[in-house]
Amino acid sequence: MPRVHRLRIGLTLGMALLISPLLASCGASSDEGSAAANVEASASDMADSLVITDGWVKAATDGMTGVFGVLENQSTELVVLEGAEGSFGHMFELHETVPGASGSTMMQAMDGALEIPASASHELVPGGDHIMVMDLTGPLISGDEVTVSLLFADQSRLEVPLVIKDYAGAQEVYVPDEDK
Amino acid sequence: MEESRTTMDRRSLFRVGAIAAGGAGLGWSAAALTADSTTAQKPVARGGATPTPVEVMPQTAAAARTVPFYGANQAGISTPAQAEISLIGLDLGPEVDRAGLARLMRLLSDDASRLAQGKPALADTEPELALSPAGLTITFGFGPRICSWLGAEAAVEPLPDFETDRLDEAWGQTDLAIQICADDPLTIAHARRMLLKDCRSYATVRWIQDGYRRALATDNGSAMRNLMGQVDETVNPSEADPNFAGLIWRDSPGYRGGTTMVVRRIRTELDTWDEVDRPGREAAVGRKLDTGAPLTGEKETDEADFDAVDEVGLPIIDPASHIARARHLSAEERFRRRSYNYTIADASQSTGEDSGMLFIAFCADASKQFVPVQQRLAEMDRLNLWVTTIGSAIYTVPPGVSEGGVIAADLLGV
Repeated sequence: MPRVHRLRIGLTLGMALLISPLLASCGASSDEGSAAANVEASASDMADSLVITDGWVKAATDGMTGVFGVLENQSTELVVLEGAEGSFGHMFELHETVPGASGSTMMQAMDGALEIPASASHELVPGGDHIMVMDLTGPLISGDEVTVSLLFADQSRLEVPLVIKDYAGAQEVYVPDEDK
Repeated sequence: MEESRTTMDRRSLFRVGAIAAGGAGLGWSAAALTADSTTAQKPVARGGATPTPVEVMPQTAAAARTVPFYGANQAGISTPAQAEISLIGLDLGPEVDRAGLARLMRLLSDDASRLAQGKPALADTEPELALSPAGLTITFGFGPRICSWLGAEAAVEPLPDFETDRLDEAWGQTDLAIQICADDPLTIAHARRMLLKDCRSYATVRWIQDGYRRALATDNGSAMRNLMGQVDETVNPSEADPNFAGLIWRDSPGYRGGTTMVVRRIRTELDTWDEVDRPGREAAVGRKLDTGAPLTGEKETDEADFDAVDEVGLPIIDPASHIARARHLSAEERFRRRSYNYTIADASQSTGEDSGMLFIAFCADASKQFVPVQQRLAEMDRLNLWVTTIGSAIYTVPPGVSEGGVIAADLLGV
């Protein structure tokens, strides 16, 4: 919760919205053309360094859901993803999944940001790292599209279109707060 | 890949526990919250639950074979028939409108394009099963109720009632048909499951019609044989035919490259067919059982001579035989057949099975090309003693789309 607040404040302080030139091609294949364009722009900011493919969000009528996709850092610099936001939910958190009791898995908020080293990829997947969305503003209907904004440590942001998919997994089961 | 998945360094900028998030008023179960808290402190590999699948064994050429999903026409029509089919008939939910169908087609087109390339669908829960495309094609058709949503150029008329039909609505007309063909049954099963998961919010399955031809490994390229033992689909336009495009593809500006799919489930009465000896079987069809040649010829590809008579002046090919009745009387009475044998259990039959042919035909205009032929067969065909059509449906099949496109998206106006 504090992290989300911090990011919201950061945005309201007048940060320039650096919309990635890749916006239109996000969610499609990361073909050579867009990859090359992206590398060229990599000096500017983290958002320009990252190519997202196969972005999707689990359909839900209300409550919470998860955002998934493949994050590929095409630059020679570290990319640090700190959070996300979008009009379809009130709270967005980076979550990770850890082993739970009796072989199950449970999720918890990440301790920090998600770092994607130069030229590395990171998958956000059900049962693994993902962006959790809480308090949906309305139903997410399969086949529709919504946009999530990824927020980076250098204050840049990337708008990513997400396909809404029916999915039975990615059920949100939590570990209790270890600091409690 | 594994390496790149574990690179995130744990840093403690903020410690945001699940309970803190829970303070926002979200409800999850008390059971989850009482789980062993020590598990949270164990080191874990990040994001590692669903790795990108890796083929661990080298693939055979047959497993790796792909048929492009994108193109001017949908795949699975001019494509030489693969070994197996699963044809799914679905009805849209009462609340599903054009926009809803467009959303569904966006999901299904994306699934089909990925699976046809041997890649997992988006959010594929069994990605390894997608890695052997085995010539997979996925073809989408829409029933007459839906055609009006696509515009006048997409229209198809319901098939007329044929006198010999004994239709069971269980195999009847549906809103949507998805034809899945491949040379590997597991590939088909996976594709079907993936597609149906995306259909779940929009449509319900009325029927699944599975069928088979020769397995790829034993197919020598000759025409198929049906369960009655006959060589089938001998006279069948293929892309090599100069008239193919005109026969199969629609040419109206808004629907160029679309076509019509006729689906007929034709039961064969194998118990009574068993009573017929070879001369009677050959006479009923008008072809020899061994070579498939017409009774007046030597090779399968020989033209049948319907005027030829024997030494006592009787026609060698019975005018009531199947090929005499089914032959096209005009150049336009031709269509592309892509049929499969089917078998399901049926304890009420002495054979223990309900077997027959899942007859599938593609043509630009079924009313001019298919219906006249079927009318003649319904009027008279010696084969009718042993075959009964129990399911019948017709679908308009929209044109193909270019890379990244969605089948019927422009027609649905969304």
